[in-house]
Amino acid sequence: MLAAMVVSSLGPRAAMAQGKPDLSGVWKPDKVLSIRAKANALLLNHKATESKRDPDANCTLSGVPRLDLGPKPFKILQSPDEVVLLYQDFTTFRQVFTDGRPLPQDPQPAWLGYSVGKWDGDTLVVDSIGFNDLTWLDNAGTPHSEALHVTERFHRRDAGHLDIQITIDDPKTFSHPFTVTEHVRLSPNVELTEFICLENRK
Amino acid sequence: MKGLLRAATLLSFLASAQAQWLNYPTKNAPRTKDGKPDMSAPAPRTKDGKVDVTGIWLANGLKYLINIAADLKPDEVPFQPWAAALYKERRENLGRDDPNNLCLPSGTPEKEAVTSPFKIMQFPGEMLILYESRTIYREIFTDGRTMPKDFKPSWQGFSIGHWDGDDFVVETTGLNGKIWMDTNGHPLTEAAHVTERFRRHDYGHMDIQITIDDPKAYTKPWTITENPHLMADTELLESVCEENNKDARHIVGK
Repeated sequence: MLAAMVVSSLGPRAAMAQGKPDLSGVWKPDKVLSIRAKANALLLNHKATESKRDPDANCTLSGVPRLDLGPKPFKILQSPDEVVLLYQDFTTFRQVFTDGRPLPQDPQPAWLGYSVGKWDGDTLVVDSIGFNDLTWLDNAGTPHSEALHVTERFHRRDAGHLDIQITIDDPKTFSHPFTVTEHVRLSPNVELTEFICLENRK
Repeated sequence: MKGLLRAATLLSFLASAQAQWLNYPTKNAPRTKDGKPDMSAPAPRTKDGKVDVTGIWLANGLKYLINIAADLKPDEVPFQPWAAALYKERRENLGRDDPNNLCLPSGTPEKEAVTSPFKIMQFPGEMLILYESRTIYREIFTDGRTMPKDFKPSWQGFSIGHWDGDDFVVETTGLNGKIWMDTNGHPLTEAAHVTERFRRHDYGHMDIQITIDDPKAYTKPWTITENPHLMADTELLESVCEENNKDARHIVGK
């Protein structure tokens, strides 16, 4: 358990090798965040999207930023060239490349899209595109199109707290981009557990 | 028809998405004069002198996915009698009840034999394996912790790793007893202790020596060796089994 304790005591200034903040750790949202209220006011077409089935109920894969929004915890692991987000939900992951590569052009749509990250001061800015239109943005069923562009700004406010500012830009679904901020808390001395959707499908 | 069904089972492991970032050059890869990755260059080492096992790896064909004991003679697998009977029944039933047919995960130690790439990454205190198949991950803790006493049994179990010379050695317990180690159906019970020795002998090649110690299913520990190769200049794709699973209802057994 030693390393877990060491990680949890690192503050936001505990620099990684290149002087960047260390976001590593197991994080749990304070509460499940719904972006529905904010999104509804900007929806271009309410009817077109209401009947879409919940992909979580089919055990395909969840979506972005839905996986960030709880209630299950996630873990961040960080290397110089890549940040990995491990989600307890679906035991699935996202790779965020921070080695300077550009986002792919015209990518094959994917459930969790394609992500690259860069540092803006002490904030990790993750840009993601290339989503299919089958996922929900949150547990409340907020829809999106394949034009979705998600920007997540990860800022470790102090050792125990991470703020994630999430901007949804999808001009085919919403009249304007909009932003919500999620607060997550470090879970020291805890590890993720395996969660296989199909074993829990009701 | 039987052959087709078996093919369908195996196909369920394969990724369907198209290439993205698939031609992205791997950082620090040794190159031959023509610019290709030099697969026979020496194995890289980390700053602390250990062999660096990170990279994207792929099983050499279907051999060990079909039969983890492919290199052994049939009588060299030390089955307990009930396990031998179960294995025979599974083979006669053409693998109908393989959890993979229902998009349940492959467990330890089947994952590395699946014919989809896996990516090994190293972080302080843990080794991480990202699997293209099913888009799931496995954590291997290297911070000196011991096996937990109250671990809930799972498909991948609980894994800790350490270095033994140039071998990265992974011990796994806490498996859920539902695992088929291959599509033939070699069983693995919740009593299993699996030891995997990852041995990268040059830039492009690795052996994974796997020892199965499962006294409930086998009379003594037994060992096999798999031989994945490195995939340079590429990245993992996303693979979602439930998106594509048209096979399950057609798999009928004998």
